Amino acid sequence: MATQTRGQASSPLLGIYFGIFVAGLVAAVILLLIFEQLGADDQTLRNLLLAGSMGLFALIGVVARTSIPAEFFLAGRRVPAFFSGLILAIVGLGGTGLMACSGALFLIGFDALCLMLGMVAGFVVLAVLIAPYYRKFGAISVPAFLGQRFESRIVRLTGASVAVAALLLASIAEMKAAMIAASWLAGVSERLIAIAIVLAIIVTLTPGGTRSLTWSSAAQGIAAFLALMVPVGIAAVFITNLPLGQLSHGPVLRALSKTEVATGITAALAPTFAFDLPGEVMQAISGRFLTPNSSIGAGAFLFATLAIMVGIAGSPTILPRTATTVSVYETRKSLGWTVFLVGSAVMTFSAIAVFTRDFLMGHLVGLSPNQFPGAVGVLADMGLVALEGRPAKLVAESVLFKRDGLLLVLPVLMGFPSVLVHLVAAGILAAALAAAMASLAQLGIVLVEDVVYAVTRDRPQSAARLHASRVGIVAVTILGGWLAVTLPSDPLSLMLWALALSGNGLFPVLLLSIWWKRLNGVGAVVAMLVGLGITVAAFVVQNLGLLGSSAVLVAVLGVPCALLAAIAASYVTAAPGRHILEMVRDLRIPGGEAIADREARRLLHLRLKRD
Amino acid sequence: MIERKERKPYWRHTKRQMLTSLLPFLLTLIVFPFYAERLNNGKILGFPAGYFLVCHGLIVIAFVTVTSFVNRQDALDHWHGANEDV
Repeated sequence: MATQTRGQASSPLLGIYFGIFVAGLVAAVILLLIFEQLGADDQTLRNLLLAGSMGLFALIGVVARTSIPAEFFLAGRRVPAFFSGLILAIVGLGGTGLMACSGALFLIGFDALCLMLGMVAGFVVLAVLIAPYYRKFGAISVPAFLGQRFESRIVRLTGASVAVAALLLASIAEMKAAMIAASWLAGVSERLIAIAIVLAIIVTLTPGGTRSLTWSSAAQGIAAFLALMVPVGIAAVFITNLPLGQLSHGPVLRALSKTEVATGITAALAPTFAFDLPGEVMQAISGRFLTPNSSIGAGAFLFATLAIMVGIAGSPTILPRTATTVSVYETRKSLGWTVFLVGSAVMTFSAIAVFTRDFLMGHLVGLSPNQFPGAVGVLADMGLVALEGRPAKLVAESVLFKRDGLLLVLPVLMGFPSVLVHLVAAGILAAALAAAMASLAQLGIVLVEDVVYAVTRDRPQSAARLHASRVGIVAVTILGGWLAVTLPSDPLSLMLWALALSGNGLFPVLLLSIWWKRLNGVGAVVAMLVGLGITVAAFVVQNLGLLGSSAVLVAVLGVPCALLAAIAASYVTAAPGRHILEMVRDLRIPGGEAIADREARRLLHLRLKRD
Repeated sequence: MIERKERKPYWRHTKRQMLTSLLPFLLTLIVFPFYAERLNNGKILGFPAGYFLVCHGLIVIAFVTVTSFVNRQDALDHWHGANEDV
């Protein structure tokens, strides 16, 4: 697994392959639009989109099969910066992000920006503080990085326990999001959809591990971004005469805020640490769009931004994806692309939320029930909109929306062809699959490489190692699918807890292990246990009903506590040895061989000498 | 490969670069939302200014932060001989 120098190893035909993929995708959508106009059955179109997209992603995974460990675990470290950035963006957003961020922004307005600002800031912090050094180290997972950095099996196992918890929560959240999106398309029972998703993930991931994940996720990222941007672009042309709704919805927003004042929408001020995010149940818009702190208090807004920021920066799903690039420089560059793509998605969410609120206030409020446009009936049939009571004239508070379905509401309200509505659902499904696969692949690899092999001290041959990881991925995918069906939790809530775990449990130790040489194994274990303990305590406190939903913001408390505990524990115990200090010095220099490769070779040499 | 005597200056410059990249961004990330409502009377590109600065402005600042960091850090790597192409 030797480190590549800049731009050496990526295929020169990669751009052409994905160009063909985009052209094929656009052609397929145009073909489906023609079929719709010719009177094809709507359910047939939905099934074609669902089966076509999932089949195509699985096919890419199978084509990218490999039996080489460097390819299976790190995609051969030859993913170009743009594709790596695209994968990071879609894994970071996921289906949960696409559905919940846009829905929350529509329902509570300005306050929901804390979710998206935290995500963007997390990628900035990752780019500057952690990712380049993790790439130089070249480890296959976060626990493997920690175990090798501190030369300690206990550190590796502790890291694995935190990472497994965070990865499991994230994968359940994304599988739930995938099930919601697939159910809009398929219209069959939840269990049948769950089985289809589990099978699709297994078929995609097992042939090539991270290599399959990488190229399948790149295709899913392209599909998801197209599905997000195209309907908004068309809506923006109708509403603002410009296709760039992300930059042209300002006048609509100002008009909307005047309408909200005129129709008597109140602007209450939430307590400083209130954190009232919209849940899964249907709810009406609350407060004026532009007025801050009507659902989330000023303190909670800041805490939520920082908590999500550290959660993203320490995420065991995201960090290993940064290690698949050609070089350290390409890793930094890929995160530039990620910030650009996630930022574009955030501006798109803003445009969708404003356009939909404007439609509600301008075209629906004030109508009597017999004047409702047919689109409202369609949305009610889809379970995305409902009316509270039987008002003689509609008021904004009597229309209930499903948070996770907002991306579909705008194209239906604007009267777009149903293929475009299904395309949005397929895009959400693609994003959810990409994020679920990233979490599940890491979960399988961590369980096999960092738990089983670390405990048994076994070092099997390459083939056995890959087969064991494949078995691990299959097992965790089935477990994740079962939990996604049986656990009644909100995907956004699960994702926030996953981020709290990675922010508290992993971010402080990752930060110090790069930027503070003196940190030793004891300090690392203490940092992770303190972070994990505080998160678990907050979870228990929330479930006892003592702190409400604000408990998830615990990372703001957990990170400084874990940092202080690590520093104190390191100072009262022995300093790290010369070999570890030399390793940390090397970690900070972009040039040279990946440290994980060198250490693996050294251990093999020592073992051969001993035998 | 970087020379041994260059390691300390390289790391000192890297730390300085990290702080100059992150601190202004984190400061704006914390400060902008607090002033959003007061700034909303103004107008930028047709948007209420406070909302524009938080939703669009912070994203632009984040992008500029990362791109300038990538270029500056790469220049530092080359200056100290720590880059990968050597």
